[in-house]
Amino acid sequence: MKLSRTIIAFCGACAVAAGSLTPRAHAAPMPCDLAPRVIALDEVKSANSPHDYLEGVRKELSARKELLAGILSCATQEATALEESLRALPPQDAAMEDMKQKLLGKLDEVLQFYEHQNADIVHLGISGTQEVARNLKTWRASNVDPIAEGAAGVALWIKQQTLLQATAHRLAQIETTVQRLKLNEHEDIAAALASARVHLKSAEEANRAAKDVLVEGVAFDRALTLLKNALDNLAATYQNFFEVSEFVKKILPH
Amino acid sequence: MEIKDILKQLKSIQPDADYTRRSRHALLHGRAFRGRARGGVIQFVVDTLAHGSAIALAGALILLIFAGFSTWNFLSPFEIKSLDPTSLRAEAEAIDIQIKLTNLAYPEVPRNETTTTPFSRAAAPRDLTKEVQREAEAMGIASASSSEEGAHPVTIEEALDRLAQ
Repeated sequence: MKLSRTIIAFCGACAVAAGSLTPRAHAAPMPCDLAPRVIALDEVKSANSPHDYLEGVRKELSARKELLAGILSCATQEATALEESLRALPPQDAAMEDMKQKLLGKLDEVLQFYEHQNADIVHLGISGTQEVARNLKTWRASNVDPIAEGAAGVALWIKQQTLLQATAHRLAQIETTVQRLKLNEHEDIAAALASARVHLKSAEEANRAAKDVLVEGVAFDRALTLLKNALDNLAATYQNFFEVSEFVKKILPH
Repeated sequence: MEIKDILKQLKSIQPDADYTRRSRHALLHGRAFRGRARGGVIQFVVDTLAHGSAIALAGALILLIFAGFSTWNFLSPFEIKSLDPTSLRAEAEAIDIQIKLTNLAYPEVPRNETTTTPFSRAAAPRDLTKEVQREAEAMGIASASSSEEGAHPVTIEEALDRLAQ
């Protein structure tokens, strides 16, 4: 599932954006290019000759094992990076911390699975590598993708708390300013501020609902939809702030 | 008789010539007299400062009159700071970046497979701003090479498909 593949590394993005990643996590991930091994397998397969069948099979099996080992190595790096990103997220309340621990526990299981698969490579034949590839793809879709989605949701939610707090603080400041300037009776300003309050409240509600969904550990798509809804409302709140700013600017003498 | 003599002598009393000159000068050129008493160099410095301050004040007044006096700017440190469009824009941009990052994690339209990086690291779409792209690269979402035209790394899922054949 491409969506979840995307989400996996995205967690790291959110953690960095929150300024919370450790120096180790800041380091660029090791390159993991599978292209050379895929090309090597293609070359061996196309070069197989009926005159030297056994040698051809031996070379293809070797190339297949190399590719499978590379895939498992890359998958391990992927899971480790996700684990580091989760660990680097700033501590939250008990419910969210519990969710983080559940995800970390599942990632440990994923890493153990990859390790076992890697140890079994030596026993595989050509058809065995084909079967493992099919099974691994299905297994990743049903096991790794939900973890990645959950981790992305948690990381996004944590980052969003800072933005919500900043917006609420800004609204309070603007309300104080408008009051001191005795402009709170101004129709346009009052309307823009009322709209800002409604948008911020909607953002807070969506944020709370997103947390509830995340903590349940299911329906991550729903959680991400709520997170997006909260962000859209925050953006609308700032649009109202800009309107207030313009109105005040017009009213004050220059 | 004695008193008469004394009174006659008083009539002939005159002030000291130097005192007369200083008194007259004090009355006619008060500031100059005092300054001279302090010394030429000090007076020069005091005068320069006095005139300089006056010119500076006059200059500031001219600037206020001709360059414009803004209540907005004048009040900004205490009152209008919270409505400063620059800081509002900076905060709004932080939200915008978060929206873009959220869209990376949860795209409404599935992104082109060719933009994904090795081992399924998310790749930033090419229409992202430089700031988001830079942040995504710094975070490991998208490698610099993945954003180059023509780059087509093989993902884990693609490699599994090839291995299954």
